[in-house]
Amino acid sequence: MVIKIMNFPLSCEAVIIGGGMMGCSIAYRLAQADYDVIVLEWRNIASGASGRNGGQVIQLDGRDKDPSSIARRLIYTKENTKLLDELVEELDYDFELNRCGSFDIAFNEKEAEELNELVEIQRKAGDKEIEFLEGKEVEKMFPMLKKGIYGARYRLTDGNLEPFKLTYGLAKAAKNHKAKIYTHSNVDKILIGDNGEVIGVSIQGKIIKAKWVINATNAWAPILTPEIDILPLRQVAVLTERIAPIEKPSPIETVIEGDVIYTTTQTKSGNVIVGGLRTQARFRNDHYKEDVSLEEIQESTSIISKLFPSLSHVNIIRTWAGTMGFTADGLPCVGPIPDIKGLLIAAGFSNGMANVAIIGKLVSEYILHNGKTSLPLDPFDPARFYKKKINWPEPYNYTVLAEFLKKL
Amino acid sequence: MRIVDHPILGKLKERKKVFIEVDGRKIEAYEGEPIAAALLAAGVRVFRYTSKGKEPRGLFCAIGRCTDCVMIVDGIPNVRTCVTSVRDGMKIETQKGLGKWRK
Repeated sequence: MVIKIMNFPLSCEAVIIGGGMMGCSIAYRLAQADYDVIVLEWRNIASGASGRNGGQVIQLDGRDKDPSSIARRLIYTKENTKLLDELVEELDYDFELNRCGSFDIAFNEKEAEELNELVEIQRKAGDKEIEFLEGKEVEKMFPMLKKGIYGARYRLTDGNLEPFKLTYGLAKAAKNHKAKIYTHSNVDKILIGDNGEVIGVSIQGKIIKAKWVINATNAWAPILTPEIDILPLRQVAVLTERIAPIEKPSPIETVIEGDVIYTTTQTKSGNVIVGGLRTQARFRNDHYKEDVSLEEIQESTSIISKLFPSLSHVNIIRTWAGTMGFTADGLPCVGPIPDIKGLLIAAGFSNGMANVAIIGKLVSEYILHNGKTSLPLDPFDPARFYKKKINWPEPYNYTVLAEFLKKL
Repeated sequence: MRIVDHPILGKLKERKKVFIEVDGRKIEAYEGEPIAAALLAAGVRVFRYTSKGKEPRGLFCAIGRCTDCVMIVDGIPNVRTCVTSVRDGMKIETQKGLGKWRK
């Protein structure tokens, strides 16, 4: 392997660790304000979860029934959607944003009742873009979906985008504003002075001094900032060949065969993505595995033909696994790490697309305006997890984790 | 075009005749032969049009690898006609771009 020795600068104002969509989004906003910012990425742009997800823009994911939590989350995700619309114009890069709505579909009566109740709670909590659709109505909208639909939660302004292109678009825009992005550059350590102030980072035997260091490595964040526990969660996805539009390309979340949540969406170019996983990784570290076994491909493929019977003959052209980062309350962890001046974290995103633009903006505001932000960062305050040990369930998958988070 | 006396494979065997429908036109085919063979014999050269450039495409590799010969067969788009056998009464349509699913 050839290791290229990078010509890192000796110092800069802000170092962002992680070249995913969050790191690039923060870099873009800072560079836009003429801030001297560099991004250090250990692999390549969007090589982690940013390039391994389905691209679903779902502003209220999961089945949140807590009115205050719903209202709080929507403030940020709605603003994020507005910013994404603006980014379509701003970025010199088409990231294929398609606001085609999103569905949570019930295939039995009990679930339909749950969804109906959920819609009522969420509408009461202030989400006017959400409605409950009867099974017949959904079947008319999705003639290709398997029959026996009992109802769906439909969210009007959600949709999908191409996450790779969004990340590259943000990185390119950041570079246009003179941000420097170094790939294949693995940070060894965040350096902290005796006075509790951040000094910079050490990388490939060199030191880059910085006033601010931002850990934007999501599931990998605990490696550099172990004070905050973020749980990795591995998901598998398969992608079909390009096929004709299947009526509605909208992201669908659904539970089939009992307990596993699968999500699916069709990209602008016609590929259908299906993600989700039944198997539970035994150890925490197994969740970082990015290769996919034959059994996992078979399972994911069988889901396509179960959800869309007429697609059973369609070919799979790609498959991958990616790692998301979860916090103990399902909300991201964004802001200053207690006791260390100049060290920020922006990680724990289980739903990156619904947060990427707004969090990038808020973190940059925090740096540029001495901690003042246009929307409060309080709900995401890292202090809530600081040096707290969390008894995560083991083994776990998405469904186990969702149950665990609900009980907390 | 149909090779009835091949220098290596020999003479074409007698087979049962079937009929397939191509864009509404009835075409004669032999049972068991690939759709593409029947189309070529009937003089059909354009099987589909590309989605971006809207350019015509037809048989290219003829062994199921290149997907240039895909058509809509019985309402299912993206079917490789060079490796799919004809069946009596099959409905075949020229595919435009990624095609359309049967409603």
